[in-house]
Amino acid sequence: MRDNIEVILIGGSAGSGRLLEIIIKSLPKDFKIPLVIVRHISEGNSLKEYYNLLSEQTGKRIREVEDKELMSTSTTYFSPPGYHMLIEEDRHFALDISAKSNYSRPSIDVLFRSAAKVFKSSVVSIILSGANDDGAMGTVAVKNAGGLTIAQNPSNAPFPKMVDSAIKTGKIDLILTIDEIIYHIIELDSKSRGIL
Amino acid sequence: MDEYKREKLEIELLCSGIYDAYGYDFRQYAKASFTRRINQFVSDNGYSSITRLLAEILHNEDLIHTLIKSISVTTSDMFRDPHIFKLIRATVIPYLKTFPNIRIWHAACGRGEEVFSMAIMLKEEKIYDNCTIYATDMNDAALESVQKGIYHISRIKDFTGNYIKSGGRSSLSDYYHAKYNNVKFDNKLLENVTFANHNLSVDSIFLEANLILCRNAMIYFDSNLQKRVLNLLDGSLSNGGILCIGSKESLVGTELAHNYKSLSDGMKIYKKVPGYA
Repeated sequence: MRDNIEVILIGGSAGSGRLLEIIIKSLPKDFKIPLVIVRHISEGNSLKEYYNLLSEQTGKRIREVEDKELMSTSTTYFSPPGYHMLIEEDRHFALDISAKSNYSRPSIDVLFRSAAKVFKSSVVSIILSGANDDGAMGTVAVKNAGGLTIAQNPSNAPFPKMVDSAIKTGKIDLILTIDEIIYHIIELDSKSRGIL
Repeated sequence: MDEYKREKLEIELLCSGIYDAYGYDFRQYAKASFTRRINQFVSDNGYSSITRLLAEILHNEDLIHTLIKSISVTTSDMFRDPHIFKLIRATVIPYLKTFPNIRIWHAACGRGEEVFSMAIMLKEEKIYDNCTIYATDMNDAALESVQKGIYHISRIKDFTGNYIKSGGRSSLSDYYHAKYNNVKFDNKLLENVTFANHNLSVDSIFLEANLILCRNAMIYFDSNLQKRVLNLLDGSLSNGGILCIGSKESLVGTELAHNYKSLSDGMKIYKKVPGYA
């Protein structure tokens, strides 16, 4: 198992809301590796209040990203609706309202590609439920940069198309249920802190 | 050579080549999104590498304009972030009404959705005639397109939804005519608008405004260039004037923060009050 993970990227679309909440709620309070999440939701539907609520309920730091915000540990970041979210070499977030990618803005591909450049083999990417092809090209970029790629088991995904597309690229390392994803990333986190 | 190292070097060479040859300064653009747009342009136009693109640009002046047109981000909607327009209508317009002559600057106006939105609101609040409006962008093609006032009909649904949410007093369809697949907005909305090419990364102060809107341009700049632009906007705004930036942009952590007071919690619209905090 890897012990140098600096960031965990998650892409979710239709059917992923509940899964993301389960993952966030299941991680221990001292979970260190930053989670950076692109979730497709329609523009104008800011979920800031929901994130604040989730943050209160879990005692964890959960943020809707602002431009130039510095990525730090022990924090979960969500992309703001209507913006692509990228990561710069100096670990600042960069937002962008240029053309949609795969009919999506935010696009999972855009985040995964930019993070792969910066973090190379120290990135983990996870594709969850969704009804489109976003994230497949991003998965390829993460894998080619030496990162670890995970897809939710399609038989458990409410909308399996997005995971199927990622798996079809041949670049997915692990196909896991939600429970296994949670177990796996907690282990990665412990490992990266030298606990295991 | 590592693929990403090479890409970084190619982007640096491209930026310095464009700057030395044509004076457009992309050297302080935020790298991740700039690189993404360049790569898109390279693949859409069939160049084998960024370096090939640079070679073509140096030998073909027309290409730099094509490139700028293509990589300029002009995505916007009328009354984008309608709650901001609602706040402007409720809070900023009464302030503007206290001046006999009002100067408004739309910095980096792109395709002009915001210019038309504001003009409509100023008309409805009956202060349009007292306004001198400046709409600037570095992209000449965008400026020309604003002056035509033509948008694809598919955008009317979003425009109208936003207009209603922004507290529009009439009906958006009063301001345009639909023809085939397009709508054309009324030229009278642009009567008091002056268009000019102005590049936030190299040009300087040219007016003192009562209201400046500069939304979603600074997200493309690195923090040094962002500082330059904020100083430029600050220097162009009268005391007591209003500054409106993009909803994910921030004054927090900048030198300007202590001279600007937020008009409403969580909204990126500020009043210039020197020494406020």
